Amino acid sequence: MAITLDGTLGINTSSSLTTGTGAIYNGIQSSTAVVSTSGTSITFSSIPSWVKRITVMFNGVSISGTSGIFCQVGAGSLVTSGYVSAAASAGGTNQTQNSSSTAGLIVTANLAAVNAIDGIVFINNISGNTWISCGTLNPNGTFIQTSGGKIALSGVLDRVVIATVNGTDTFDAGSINILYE
Amino acid sequence: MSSVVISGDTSGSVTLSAPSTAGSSVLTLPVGTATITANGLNSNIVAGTAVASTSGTSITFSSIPSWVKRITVMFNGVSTSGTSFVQVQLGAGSVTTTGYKSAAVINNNANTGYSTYTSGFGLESGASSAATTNRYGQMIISLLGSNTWVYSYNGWLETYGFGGTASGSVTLSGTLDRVVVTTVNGTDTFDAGSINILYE
Repeated sequence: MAITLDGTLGINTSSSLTTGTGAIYNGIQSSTAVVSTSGTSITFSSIPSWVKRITVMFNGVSISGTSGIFCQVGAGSLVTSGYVSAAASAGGTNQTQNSSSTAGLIVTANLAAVNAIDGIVFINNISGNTWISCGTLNPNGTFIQTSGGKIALSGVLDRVVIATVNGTDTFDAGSINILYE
Repeated sequence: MSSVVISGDTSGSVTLSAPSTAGSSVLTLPVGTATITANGLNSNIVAGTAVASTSGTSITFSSIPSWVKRITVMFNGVSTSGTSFVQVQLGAGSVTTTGYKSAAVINNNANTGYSTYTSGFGLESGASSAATTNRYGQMIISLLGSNTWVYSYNGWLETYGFGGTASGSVTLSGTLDRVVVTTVNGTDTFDAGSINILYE
């Protein structure tokens, strides 16, 4: 076994090893929450190459139209094709709704302009540069939208973009953040 | 800083020793902008102590450290005496009982219902409220920022063979320090199963 500490040693935030509990502070890194009240997309960039899981968190997120929301990822530049993804609704009269996308990891099946969504989407590295997503969101505390998808990137993931599907609907409420680890 | 290399042979370990004096011991690494990589690192997820959910109206996991960014609540055959839904509440100094935005559904072809929760993070809906229901599943609760926590839940309701799915959010008034599993009416008692948490 070998452990190497070199001159680039450092951790982004206050970083400590603690005894007793076995915990390591900041094993999960948090980005900065972004207020999702304008624009057609929100970008989290400079994601480190060692990341194997990204947690995208939605808090009361709403958009101006009905086109829905997807997550896109990138490696040097944003990837806008090649995704396999689908979302479906469960509960209430919405349970027959579903949607799919090849332009992103779609996370909503049917979304009214008045809907504000809360929940989590996980994007996990399964192997190499292939990433798998799964999500559970609820619009306005009424029904549930579940989703899953995958994307094989040509390089190391370095960004996550949360965007409206048609690229013209705009975010008008809520906040979004990511955890990465 | 010049390079420092600690090299081992084919097996063994490297130990960073805290002071022997009793109390809280912290080993601090300097602030920087680069990365430490540790393959095979373990124990960066901390487990609580599993609690048998066989009595009482609530189960509390307290003294959760302030640095925690994710909590996983695990349900193993959890049942209650009545028909009130099981929910999870968070707290900061005291338990928070209002302000939750949460919805849960049952995943089966025949049930189109959903349940909305405002007093906690819900797990279930509709027919899952029977007293004989055993719940298996996990709830993942993540810190978005500024004391706002979001969650998702996936589980199975043994008695019915239904899946349950839920998600939502809540903003606390301070730093999270506890998780409480209870029922919506607060009077039904737990009568089977066990519950534990992981935090990281």
